[in-house]
Amino acid sequence: MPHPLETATDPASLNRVVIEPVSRVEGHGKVTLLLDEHRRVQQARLHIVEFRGFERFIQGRPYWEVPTLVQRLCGICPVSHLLAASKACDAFVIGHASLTPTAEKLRRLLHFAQVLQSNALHFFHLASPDLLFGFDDAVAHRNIVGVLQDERELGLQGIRMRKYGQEIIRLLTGKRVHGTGSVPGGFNKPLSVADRDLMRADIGQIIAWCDSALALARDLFLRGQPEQGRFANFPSGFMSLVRPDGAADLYDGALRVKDAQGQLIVDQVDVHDYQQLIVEEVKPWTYMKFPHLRALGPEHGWYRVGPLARINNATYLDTPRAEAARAEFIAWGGGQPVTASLAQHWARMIDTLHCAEGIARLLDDPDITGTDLMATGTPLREGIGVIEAPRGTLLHHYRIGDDDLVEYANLIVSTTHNNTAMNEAVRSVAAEYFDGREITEGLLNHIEVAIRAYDPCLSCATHAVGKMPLRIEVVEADGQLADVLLKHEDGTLERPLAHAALADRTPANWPPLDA
Amino acid sequence: MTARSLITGDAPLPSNWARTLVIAVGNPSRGDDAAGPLLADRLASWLSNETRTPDGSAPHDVSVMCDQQLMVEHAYDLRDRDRVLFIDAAAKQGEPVQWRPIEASANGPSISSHQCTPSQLLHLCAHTLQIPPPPAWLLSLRGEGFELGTPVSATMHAAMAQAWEGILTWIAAPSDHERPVSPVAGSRDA
Repeated sequence: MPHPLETATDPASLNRVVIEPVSRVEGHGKVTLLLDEHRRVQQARLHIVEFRGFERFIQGRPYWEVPTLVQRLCGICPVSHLLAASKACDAFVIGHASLTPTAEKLRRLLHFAQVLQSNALHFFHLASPDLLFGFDDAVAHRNIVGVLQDERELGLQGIRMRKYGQEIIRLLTGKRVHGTGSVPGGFNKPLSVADRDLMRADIGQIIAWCDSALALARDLFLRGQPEQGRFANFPSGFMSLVRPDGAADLYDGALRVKDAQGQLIVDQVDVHDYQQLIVEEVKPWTYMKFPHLRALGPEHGWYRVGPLARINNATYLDTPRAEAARAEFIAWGGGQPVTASLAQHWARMIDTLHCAEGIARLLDDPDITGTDLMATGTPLREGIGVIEAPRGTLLHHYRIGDDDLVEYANLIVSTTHNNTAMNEAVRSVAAEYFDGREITEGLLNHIEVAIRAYDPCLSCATHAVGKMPLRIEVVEADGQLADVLLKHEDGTLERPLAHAALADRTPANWPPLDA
Repeated sequence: MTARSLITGDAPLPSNWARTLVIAVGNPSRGDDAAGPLLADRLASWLSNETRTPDGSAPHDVSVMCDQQLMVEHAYDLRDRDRVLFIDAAAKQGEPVQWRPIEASANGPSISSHQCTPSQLLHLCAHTLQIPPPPAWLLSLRGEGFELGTPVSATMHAAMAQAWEGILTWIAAPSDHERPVSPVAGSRDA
């Protein structure tokens, strides 16, 4: 048993608390807490209850369709999949050759815009209500509407930063979602001077907003000490892409993994060797695999990815404001990696400022409006593309046959990399806050806060109406329903006692309750 | 801030800004979730084939959008519209096709995800962005399966055919709030 509380010694004799789906987290996630007769937590797990089938979806398709197709895997960060797939499929067009300077810079601009808008939305809309008002604030107030009521300008900034990133994506790809732009071998549309100037007009304001958002994220975390520092704080490795000199790089680089003390476990690992570095473990109680470093095994080799990993791992950031912020962050941690889950929000806003500064620099680069967009080379039959998506390292790996159809596909998305870390966060919070206490919405929100810090996209979800209520059940060891707490889409809470009432409210598409 | 800004919500609207907006939501690769995108494609094609008026303008002042999810920035798309129709698949509802008017919740709905519901979007307009929310309707189609890579079900195809007639009726109606809100008789979800 690699982790305390992952598997109870006698689960059949325990009471069960089920939380599904986890609200403000995309997709179908479910948390189960098994309590003994003294309401002590004996087992805590985050389950993924939908088989995602990414690879099956891609296999058999012509490679040139893949970058566009994979955008349908996720409604939240389609551009991340577009870019990772484009990088992997570059091999099928140009082999080992490099992109043209303009194509690579346009992709980087697209990527910065994607990370900026995603990070901004997460911080302002999903994380800031908890951080501003506290985890136990009234649920009707602890949301973006509450932020807008109390901190209207802050909420508007979040929407406008999000819109700026989306507009850059639209101008570069032709659409706000599911455009093209990035294609195997390069980029298919130049950036006009007029559109470049349009992006430039706002970037000063965006940087200023990023500065103030970063200050807010930092201040909220520091003001919340010591609780926020203790909350879901656990040692782990951290993995991210870095350049040869150790600078963080969102678009390209080699893999670096540090341990919780800041020592390098591996560095400058070619992404094409990822299968020598990482292996994925399957567990019977969840569809999501558990990646870990092959050399260290599942118990000691798991790691975190995402903004916290990027900032902890980087030797430096190559933009001045973000680098100053990184240095302050690392200094707060005493020179060692910061391991508190809630520090992820502070790191995320450093990341965001880095993106804004990166956009400004690219818009001043004459290459960005160049027209040499497609490279040439000797095609290969296997390609691997890795980027740092908003939530962390994203890996696409494809092999094609002589007919140019995809024969093999393997995707490791950021949320999968963070699977063990999210489970560790759930166990940590469950053990500290739930033991022996009555279940309340505020307590349950502690679990959600811990998961939300990783901003998981659990199923890269469909969104159909009626899929997002939160449901918590306490089930006795004999299977009898003891308590129910429902959290509806509008945030209202209900605690129906009758089983019949519960049955009426169970969406048909929900999976059956299980362990 | 110049008028040519990407981030201000009060920038001048383009001259061809339609008074009626149809926003379809869904993932074309997730089974019955494709209903919205398919109806949007059909509507856009139908509108483009409509005979233009003698002055060369389109006979229907309608814009069609399609997105995988509703997000906060879609609130800006609701500016200066006379009416809006949201089209979406539904995981669970009584009728295969339901039409219902929607309003911004007076109670301040939470936005608890990266994505928004239509009523949350209207709330953002009304209470945050100072954008008068247009009269809005939600056309929801009951789906059976939403798995990645699965086809649209026969049931959903039938629902889409039923919904299509309602959409044409809704498009043809003048932009008048007092018009019946349910183009398909008996399908209104009160």
